[in-house]
Order: sequence, then structure tokens, then C-alpha cells
Amino acid sequence: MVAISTIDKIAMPECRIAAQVPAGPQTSRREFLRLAAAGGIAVIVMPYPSFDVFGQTATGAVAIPSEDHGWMGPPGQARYRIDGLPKVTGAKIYARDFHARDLNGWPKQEAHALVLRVGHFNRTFTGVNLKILPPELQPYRTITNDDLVRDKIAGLWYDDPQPMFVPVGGSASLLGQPAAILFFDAAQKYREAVRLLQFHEDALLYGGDIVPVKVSEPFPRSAMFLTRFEDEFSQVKNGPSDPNLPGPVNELAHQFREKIRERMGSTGLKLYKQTYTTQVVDPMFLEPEAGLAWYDSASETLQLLLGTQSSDGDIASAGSQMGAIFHDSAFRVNKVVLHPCYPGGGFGGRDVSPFLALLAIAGAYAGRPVRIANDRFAQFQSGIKRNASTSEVTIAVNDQGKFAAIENHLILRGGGKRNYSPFVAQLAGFSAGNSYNFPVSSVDSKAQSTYGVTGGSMRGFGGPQAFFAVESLVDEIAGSMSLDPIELRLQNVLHEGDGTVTGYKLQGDVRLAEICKLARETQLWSGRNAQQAKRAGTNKLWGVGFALSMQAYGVGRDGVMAAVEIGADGEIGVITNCVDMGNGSATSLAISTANSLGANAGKIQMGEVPFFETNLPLESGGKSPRWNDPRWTASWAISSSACLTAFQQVHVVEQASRVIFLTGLWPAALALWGKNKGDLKPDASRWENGQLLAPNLPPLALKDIARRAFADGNIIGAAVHAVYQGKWIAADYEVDNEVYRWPLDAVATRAASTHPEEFVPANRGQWPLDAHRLELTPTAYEFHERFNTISPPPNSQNYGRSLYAPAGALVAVEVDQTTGHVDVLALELFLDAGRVIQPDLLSGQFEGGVAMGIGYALLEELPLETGGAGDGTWNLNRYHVALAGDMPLQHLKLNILPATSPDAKGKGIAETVMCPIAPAIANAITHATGKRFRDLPITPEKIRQSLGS
Amino acid sequence: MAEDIISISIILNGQKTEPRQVPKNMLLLDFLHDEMALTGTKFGCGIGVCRACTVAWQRVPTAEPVPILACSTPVDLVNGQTIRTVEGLADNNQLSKLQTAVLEAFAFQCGYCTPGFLMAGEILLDGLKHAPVERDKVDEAVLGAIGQHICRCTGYVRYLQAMRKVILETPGLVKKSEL
Repeated sequence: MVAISTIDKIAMPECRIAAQVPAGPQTSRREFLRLAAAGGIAVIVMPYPSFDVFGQTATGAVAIPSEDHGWMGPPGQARYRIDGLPKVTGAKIYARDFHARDLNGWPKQEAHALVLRVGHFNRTFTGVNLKILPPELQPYRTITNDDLVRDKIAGLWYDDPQPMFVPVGGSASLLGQPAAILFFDAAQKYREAVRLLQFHEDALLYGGDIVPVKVSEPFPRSAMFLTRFEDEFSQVKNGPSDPNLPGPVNELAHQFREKIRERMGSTGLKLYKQTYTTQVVDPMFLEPEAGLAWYDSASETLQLLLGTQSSDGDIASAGSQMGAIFHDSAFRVNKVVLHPCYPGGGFGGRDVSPFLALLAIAGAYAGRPVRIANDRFAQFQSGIKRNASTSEVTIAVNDQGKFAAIENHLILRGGGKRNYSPFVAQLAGFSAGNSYNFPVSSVDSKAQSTYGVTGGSMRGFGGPQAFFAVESLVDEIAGSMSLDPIELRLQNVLHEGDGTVTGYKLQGDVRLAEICKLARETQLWSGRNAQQAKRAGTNKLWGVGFALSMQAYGVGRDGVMAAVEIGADGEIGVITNCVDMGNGSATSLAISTANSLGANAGKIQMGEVPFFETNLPLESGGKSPRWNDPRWTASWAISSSACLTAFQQVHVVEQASRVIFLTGLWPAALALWGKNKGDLKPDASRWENGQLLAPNLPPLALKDIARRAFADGNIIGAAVHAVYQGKWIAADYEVDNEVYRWPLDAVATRAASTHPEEFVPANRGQWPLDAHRLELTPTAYEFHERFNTISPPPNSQNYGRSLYAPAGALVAVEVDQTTGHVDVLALELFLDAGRVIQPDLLSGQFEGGVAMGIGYALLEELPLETGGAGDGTWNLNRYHVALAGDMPLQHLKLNILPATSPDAKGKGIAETVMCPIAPAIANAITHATGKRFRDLPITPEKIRQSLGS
Repeated sequence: MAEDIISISIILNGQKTEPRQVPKNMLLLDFLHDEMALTGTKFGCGIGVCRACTVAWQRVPTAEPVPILACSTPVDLVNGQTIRTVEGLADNNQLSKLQTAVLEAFAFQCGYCTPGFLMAGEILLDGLKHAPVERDKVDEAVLGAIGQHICRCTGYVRYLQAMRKVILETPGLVKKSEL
């Protein structure tokens, strides 16, 4: 869910295409910027569907009843999701809903592409057997890797050296690797062909068995080593290190690892060592990936429509990867037009999905618009998976139950493609000590290549794997030492000032102890043994388990952006590059204007990128920070993630609102009150019911202030960019001869006088999609160069992570001794969410996290290689996700810790609400059965075997 | 394959559709998407497990609507019969009570499963008009209707809340308690 890498505007992944597209007079500024970013291919992004305050859907199908005031609640609140109406009326918003006929300017006849994938890695692929199809069902075209080679299409994906398609005469580098694309000219013909080919053993032809040459090696640059020895050595203090390599820091790390081993072997400490494994799971977002592509050779333009969870990421891919794929090929591609659509779920699985490249290649060969619509079998066979893992973890404990050291070796098993697996392994490493204060620690994490379906980003991003291991072992230690598991945790949890495995010293109260104490006080916990005793002699075993997770949100260097504008009538619009995967970002951001502007935003434009590229001319990347350069930033953007809304994305919306208030509305209010600047400070005012109040002055309605701001030519729009690296980068800005300090690294403002008739949010998000309406209006924004920039804290680039959302889960289970079936009967979560933006959205995340956690603990499993998803036979008949009946619907409780201050910021909780669920269930099963299960999922069969039943 | 082409006309969301010449084995879901351009009914698994493709079916207009799975039902089987989809729930631009309740309960996130839940819920509400449920059996009735539906984003809690609310607030759906 969290993309670990940041997206730099200029320093894109290596692109081999020359900048052969002339940036002539016909090229707009938007295109020009794209040329720079993509290294030669212009990428144009079509507007994302927008929703407005009056509830008109994108298709205009249904209007909200007239007595209904729409989604918007009072300032700062929502009655329902801003994107809710289209979703309850069946409006077209998902990629799967669209056909070529829906896109203006496209030929109406579309082709349908069937991707055939290999189900063996130990046999030579020799070709496609089209004889299975009768003459009337033959595809009009079939391509294999031979065609890609002939046409000089690289067919690569990122820096993976393996070709995307299996070479004819070669063997697969992963199960589910594409072997061929068959193109059909009619939907029904395609469907009939699918029926005949999909499960036909001989659809793909194979030669003899071969001995696979690939060994399970770590992916290149995928290993991370964290060595910490109290305050003497750590990544934060000394920089990244690898104790196996030469070099001063590495050798020092080697020496300290020796000291750690000595420490762990010292008298008075007992070592607890176990190995834990987790399985491959599928994100199983409900809309299988689907998309449209059309390559127009005359204009050398490739258009792509697909569901996205990261506009920035897809744009980067569209530029750099399309450049890599088509450079020097038989297909000239000078322009890529992206049509992003709302995703039918994501959970990380759409982040850098190979689907985009496959769609593009299909588009090139189809000769007309082409549609790829995975069915569920194909989605299982090709979609990104959560990595399987092995964690060999050792904790040294003194006789009082105090943790002295941890050693954790984590292996994350990816598939045959690198994808995000190394970054997942990295975050697993950062999570290797979970919530505990280990004065010394030694962590290795690496991502391993396998023949499995590609692993990568999925909700939790390495955290679930690490937390299951640590939380299981902590419970095992408690059992061995006859200590209460919560008491043991309480003794060892991190507090302010304690260091993580990178040596980062926690700032502020992380509230883990508070969570433990609250859980300890519950009837569920205190009465657990009595409840167990009550069931003695029955077939049902009762158990209660607890687990903590301290999941990070953000990637350690988080670049975010937003713009806010206000109209002369007081209507507010928000523009963001953020994508709403269903987590509620659109709604949360729309109500985040209320603090400074007294009202919610009536319009929000999601997934917007060109607007920011135009109005915030920042460069990013480079070897060294250049904070003194006002047009440089450390991170342009990070992939959209459900965890990045509450803290990062809300910050920029709030700050943009604040900029407008201070520079545009406040001067207007003073004018209406007949006051001068010095008479009254902005902080003396407050909003109430849409009116600005100040002592001894008449209330002012927002619309009146806005009207005056327009009349006076004040600032009515702000586009801002911010970076969080240990703290928000702050700087001074001069606006209208006044200097402000804002926690932002770039600010542009728009005065009412520039285009008084134009209101940017209103002229975007038009419908229907229109490929010809590509030009952007000239910028009306003035960029204010920052000065007196406060750089990030020293060594903060080595923190790994510094933002955490702690949670603790308490779970009661009942285990049927005969069947081995586990029922989750009750669940309570204790969560530090900071300031809650919209409670309904937050608890919805929690409930969904519980369901996914139950699936991870008990239900979901895909074999990594043979017999796994890559064989193309997996669907929901045998891959079981949690149903309503698996949930403790009547006994599900979310305890949100009250915010510590009115100024507290929100925290990204979408992952942490799921992270402690599986280990808490595992610990509850142990409490119930007396048996320890170290391998997920904990199936009835494993339980029956363990109980001998 | 000409002999496999049949003429299909159904009563879709209250309107009789013009006859369409389609392959005999075309699935109802494909018919809705390709022939009727109604994409509100969703494809999730294609094998009738996830129930995102649930629509309401009446063999004759006077029959009680029952859920069928559009991904697994040949359109030929419902030829001439009555189908209601999510696009047909709002009446004269007024959302149904259930649509409103689902919105206000924040019952969904990505929303892809929502049409299936809505249709199952609406069918339940229709059935309760004729056979009201005991107050303490409301949740059971709801779970009987949606218990097999898959929602990957939420934990089903809010769908249950929304449907419970509509049942309890709609006169005639719950048996009057005996005094």
C-alpha cells in the first residue's frame, strides 16, 4: 500500500529513449514538462472523474433529492462519501466499465485481447496451439516474444533483466509469465475462445522437461542490514552499512555485530529463538484489472485507460517505461495519453502493476482499440501478491523479563519479477523490532527471487510479516517465563526517546504503554482464564490473544501537494494528486478546508498531476540536498496510499487553505470590518457556522468575505508542496509584501484579478472523457520563492521511518477440537489515530482491516510456486476471503485513544488497523489450544493435526 | 454459428428492451454490459461466488423478485422475463431508502461490490413486505441475504447496519410485537 520509493520529477528510472520529440511552439507547457520528466515521450493525463457538492454524478444519471444537501455535513464533517452517489447508482467510474465506444475520438470497434500465460517453469515453451480453435474463432492476430524481438520491443519492466514474455524455445522466469497475446475482433468470439483455451492443457505447447537454472537468489540491491548497539552505533548515527562488505562503516558494523552476539550470549540472558513463516496472499481487490489501449500510428500516440491507485506512479511508468519498451521499435510512440479511472479496490496491488506495460504492448499490435479485461483466474495468475516470508528471530531476555537484544533474519519471497519486493523487505526490516525497546539489534532483510507470481506492494508492505513473527515470539517468551503477555509487553514497549532498530529516537509519546494498559483492563482479558475454565470439558476451546503493531506510515521522505481555490460565491475547490482507492481520501480532503476557511470544499479533483507540474516548478533528485535552492525539493511525490491521507495529504490541504485565509480572506475581512492590519491578528478570529467571528465585530459570512476578496483582487488560490523528513520542511515566503513562515517547501498563489471569470476546479473533470481536449489553460499562479529554509534534521535520511500509528488488538477465539475450525468471537482494537478526520471512514478502515487480518490468519493461502496462483486455476471457489460470517459483527469494538491536544495531527491508520490482527488471532489460538502455530494461515487441518483430533 | 443466435428481449428496470440478436450462450452480465450499456452490475469472479453481479429476477412480473447471478446465468434463461439492476433502484431520480442508508452508513469503500449488496438488500426488503421478520431476527435475515457476498474493503458491519436501519424504520417489514 505504501510505495517506498519517492517519485522524482527529473530523476526518473533510467529511460533509454532519446528526447526526439521536438518541444516546438505547438507544445504546451504541460507537454514540455512531461518531455523533461519522461525523457522524450510526452505524457498527457486526462481528468479524473470529479464529483461536486450538489451530488451530480459523473454521468449525470441521478441527482440527490432536493431536500438533501448532498454528501456534505457541517464544516469538517461529511454525511457520506463525496464519491458515494455514483457508487450506489451504478455510474461508470471503473476502468472495466469502459469500451472504446465511450471515448470520444476513438474508433468504435475494439479488439479483445486474451493473454495466455505459462503454468510451468521447468518445461520449454515452444508455441501456441491454435488448432484447438475452430476456424470461426481464430484470432486475427497472435503475438509471442518472437514478434517483440523482431519489432525491437524491449518487453522489459523496470530494471528486471528478464523479458516480459517467455521466449519461444525458452523457459519461464516465473509462473504466469505471458507467453502470447491473441487478438479477437469480436467480444463473443473472444469469450468462446477463452472457454476453449483457458484450461486446455495443450493450449500452450511445451518441449521436454528442463532443469530450472534459476536459484532463489536475492534480487539485486534487495538486502538491508541494520546494526544498532545502544548509542554507539546505528544507521542513524553512522549511515547505512553492510557488515559483509569492506569499508570503514561496514567494518564497524561487523565489529558491533560481534559485540551484539557477545551481549546476547552473556550471563543472565536467556535466548528465545524461533522461525515463523507467512504465506503468499492476493490483494483480491474486487475489480480485476482491466483497461483499454489504442495506438494511433498516424499521430504516434498511445492512449491507455486503466484503474489507478497512483497517478504519479502511472505517469512515471507511462513516460519512462513506455520509452523503454518502444524505443527504437517498429512502433513510434511520441505521446502517451493516460485516462485514469477509479480503482475497484487496490490495497497496493495496483502499484506498479505490470498490467500497464502489457496493455501498452497489446495496444501497439492490435491495430485498433483493444481491451484487456482479466477474469479472476487471470488476475490471480498475474496480479501482484503479498510476499511470503520467513523470519528467524531471536530475543534475549533477562530473568526479569526485560528485553536486551533482538536478532531478526527476514526473507521476503517475491516472484520472478523484482517489482517492489526489495522495498517490502526493507520495510519488514524496519519493522523487525516492532514496538519494543531493544538496546541492541541486528536485522537482516532481503527479497528473494522465486518462480512465483510477482510479489510487491500490498497493504502492510512488509509489516504484517514482521509483526507476526515478533508478536508470536513475545507471547512464547511470556508463556515460557509464566508472565502475563500484556505485562511482558508493558515492560518492554518503546517510549519517547527510545530508539528503533535504525537508531531513530522516538519523538512524542508513542502511547504503546497506554494501549497495553487499556487492553489489560478489559473484561475480555481479565476474564479470559475464567471463560476458558467455563468451557472445560466441552468440544470448544476458548482463548484470548493480544498483539501490538507499530506500523509506519509514509516512506521516510514524503513529498505531497495540494491546491485550494475559493470562488467569489464562497465555494471551495480542492485539487490533489492523491487517488482515492476507496479509503475515503476524497472525502477527508474535502472537509479539511474547514479549519481555515470555515467550510468544506464542494469540489475535489483527484489524481491531478499536470496542474502541479505547471504551477509548482520544482526539480527533485540529485546526489545532495539543495535546500537553499528554492526550486528544488527532496521528494516530488509519493505513490498514493491509504495511509498517506490523514497526516501528509491533509497537511497540504490545510496549509493551502491557511495560505488563502491569511493572504486573501483575512485582508478582505479586515476591509469589511474597516480595520487595518495592525488592529487585529488572524488568530483572534474563529469560524462558526460558516461565519468568521472576532471579538466585538459583526460576524462575516464566508461568501461575503470571498466576494470582497475578489473585488479587491486578493489571493483566492494556493498551490502548495511539502516534504516530511523527520519533520515538515519549513521556510519563509513573501506574499504581498508580508513574510510568512509555513511548513511548506513550495507555494504558489493565484490572485482574483488574474482570471476573475475562471474557477479552476470547475473547468476540470469534464465528462465524457475527451481525448481531444488536452490543452491546459495558461497558469494564473505566481510562484513565491522560499527563503530561510529549515532543512531536515541531521541524519534524518537514515531514520528509515519516523511516523508511526501504534495499535493493539485483543481477540477472543473459539476452536472446535473436532473440526479444527476457528471462530473469531470478539475483537477490540486500541488505536492511536491522532486527530480523527472523519470517524466513519476511520472505523470503516478498521472493520475492513479486521476482515483482511482474519483472512491472513485463517483463510487465505496461495502456494508460492507449483500449484499456486501462477497455474491459472485459482478463483474464489478455493481462495477464501472473510465473509460476514467470519466477522465478530456484534462484538467488534474500536477504541480510539483521545487525541493528546487540539492541535494533534491525524495519523495514517489504514495498515496498522490490520497489522496486529493475525498475530493476535495466533496468540488467541495458542491460549485456547496450548499449541503454537508458527506458520500462516492457521488452517483447521493444521489445528486438527496439532491436537491429534 | 448462426443457429446459435437468438432474439432476446427482457423487461429491464421496468422497460421492455428492443429485441436483440445475441449468441444463445451469452451471459446475462455480458448482455447488460455489451448490449444494454449498463455496467453497474459488476464482474468479480465470474463463477458465482463473490455475488458482485447479483440482480433481481422475476420470472413473471407478479412473482417475488429473487437474486440471480448475472455472471453465471445465460441471458436465454431469462428471455422475456423481468430483471432489475442497480441502475433501476432510484425512482424518478430519488434514491431508494436502501441506497440512502448505505450512503449514510459509509457502508462501502471502493464501491465495486455495492451494486450486488444493494440488489440483495432490495430483494430482501421486497420479501419482508410479504413476510415480515421478528425484530430479533432482523440481523439473521440480513445476513441470510448478504452473507455470501464479498466485500474486500469493509468488514460488512456497515452494510448490516444500513440494512437493519431500513428494515426497522420501514413500516410493515417487522412483525408487530405481541402485547
